[in-house]
Amino acid sequence: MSEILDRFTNELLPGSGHWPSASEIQVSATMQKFAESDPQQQVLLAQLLDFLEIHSETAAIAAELEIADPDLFAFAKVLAFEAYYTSPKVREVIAERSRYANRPPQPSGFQVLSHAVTPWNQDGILWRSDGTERSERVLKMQQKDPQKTWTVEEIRQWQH
Amino acid sequence: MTVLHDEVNVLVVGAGAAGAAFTWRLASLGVEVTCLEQGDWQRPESSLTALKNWESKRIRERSPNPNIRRNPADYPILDDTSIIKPAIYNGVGGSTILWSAHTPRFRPSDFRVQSLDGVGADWPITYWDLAEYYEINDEMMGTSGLHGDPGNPPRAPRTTPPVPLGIAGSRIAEALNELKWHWWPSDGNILTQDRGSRRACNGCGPCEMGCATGARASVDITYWPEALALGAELRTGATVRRVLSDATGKATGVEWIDITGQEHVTHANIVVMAGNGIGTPRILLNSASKEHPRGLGNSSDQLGRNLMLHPIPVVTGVFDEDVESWSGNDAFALLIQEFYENNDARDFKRGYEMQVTRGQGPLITALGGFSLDIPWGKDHHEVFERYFGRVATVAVTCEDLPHPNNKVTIDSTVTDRFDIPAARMWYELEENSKRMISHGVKSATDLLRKAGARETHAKPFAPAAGFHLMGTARMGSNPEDSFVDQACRSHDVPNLLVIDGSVFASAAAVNPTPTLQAVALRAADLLREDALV
Repeated sequence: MSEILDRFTNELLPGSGHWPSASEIQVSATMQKFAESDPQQQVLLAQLLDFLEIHSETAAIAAELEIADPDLFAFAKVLAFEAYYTSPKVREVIAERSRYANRPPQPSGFQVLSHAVTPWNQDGILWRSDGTERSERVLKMQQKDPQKTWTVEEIRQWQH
Repeated sequence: MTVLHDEVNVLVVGAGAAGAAFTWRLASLGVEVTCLEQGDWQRPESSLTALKNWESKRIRERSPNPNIRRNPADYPILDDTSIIKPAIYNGVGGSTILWSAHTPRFRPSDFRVQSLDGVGADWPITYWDLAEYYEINDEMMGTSGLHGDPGNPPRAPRTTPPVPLGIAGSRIAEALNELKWHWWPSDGNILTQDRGSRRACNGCGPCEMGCATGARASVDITYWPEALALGAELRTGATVRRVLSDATGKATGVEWIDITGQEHVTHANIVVMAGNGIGTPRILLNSASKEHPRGLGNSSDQLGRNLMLHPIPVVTGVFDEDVESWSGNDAFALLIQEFYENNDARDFKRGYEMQVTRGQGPLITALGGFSLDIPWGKDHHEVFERYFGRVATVAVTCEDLPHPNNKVTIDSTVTDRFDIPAARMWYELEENSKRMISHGVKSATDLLRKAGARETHAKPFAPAAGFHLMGTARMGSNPEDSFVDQACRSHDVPNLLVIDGSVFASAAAVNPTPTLQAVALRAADLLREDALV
């Protein structure tokens, strides 16, 4: 049974250069383990295995499933990719071939590189009055002094 | 089974963004207030983002779609009649547990879309009625940002400086300067400096999985501790079946079930619904009675109708160099409101905003991210390497207009674990939205190209983005075409309030949470001012 699942997952995720094939890192076993925790996924995995067994003579079995049952294919693809991309071996390859650190986001987080960019000197106040007297009053005050620091108490007065 | 009875003064249903703000405000005014929440408390210290298989958790138990996540507190939402799928969370904190905490405000014109632009419906209140409450909410949630945005009315100083732009964000900001389009560092409920027990954001990426440091606000760590300290009561694991009413049509309390299956009736003077734009109409439609045959307070037949969701087209740009797109808070760094206000020269009414997103890890990228198409098979690894860490996505939030056939109904063919009928979403894109989407995709594509992206990939809307749920019990002056009045009180049932996004008469083109929290805070004040509690 896992042989046919290996074949299917290798069609989805074949080995290439630095990248292991799905079967090299036991993706099919991981898929079955993931599905164990979810009764709905167990049913879908059983349907997938049935399809693969029935079509085992087909040369391109993944393409066959994608056409015959797109929903089941979508389920199988997500489960296979989940198993593949959470594998420590694959995470190592990603870290070697990009600037991504091979660790969870927490607790260390990531430094967010950027440089300061100042918004261009925009032409006046850009929001539109709602036609009320309050709107016109605040617009005029903001146009007169766009950089004024407003207090909550001043803002509270706008209600009246 | 014996039904247990008790009695309270004000009873709030739902402990999310609106329920928490309302409860805190009322408790701070000395009013006895009790909240029922079907889910439980979250534990930020056990954040799944510290696990090696965190991305696996992201698509399973932290999926924003309750139909995928299927936690015990989740109820079924039938969505085969909606092109956009639900994205909510049930628990103390509600959907702020999974949100990205982007907090732009409505603009003044957003409250008067019918008067100004001849579409949709006006609110019976204005921006100026909410301005003070926006400020109170910003302070409670903790808001990073930059003073002086010319695109919006003035605000008080932000709690901390804005989140960093990131490599791609910086490039896009420079491109915006060249294009002379409006942009400004976004307001967000993400702290960039320590504040009390909350730590500064460390740029880890997946905000929507819950924040381990408390930098990203959720109301379970902002409003709720203060509300409880003021004497408010919060009962978790309490699933509300229906709101009860008497022969005069007045609300008398709610019927609910605890996690053991024990049935309760809590009698109340005031019942306040804060169950979100799907959960609230679901409960009220399930509360039909002889006096309210179409659902509680629904003589207008507006309950559940006018569902507005924000269609969100996305365009991803691919850059030649690694821009570390897996780092930084995931949903925003800057917002672009160049095309926000109505312009009659365009072929659609109203407008949209754009924001730059990031923060996607390897698995989500391999599955296509926001709008990539990474093939399976022999080319998979080559394409993955070309994209991973090298992308930035511009998400376009389009204003949605209300339509009576976009709606939430109940469907008794499917029930939750307590046999309560499910909600069903009905949603299609209107022609105005389709034209706006086309314009937005072109703007986002032009922007990314200007910023140096060598290729772009667009999707006309994000099907998973059903997180802004608005309009299903809308506010208005006329009882014939709205559900609640300007104080969030039902036109039919004066001691029934709705305070969540359901009351929005218009959707604007921004995230709704700070606005619905401001509405909830105001509703609490009005309840007290009118001596109803």
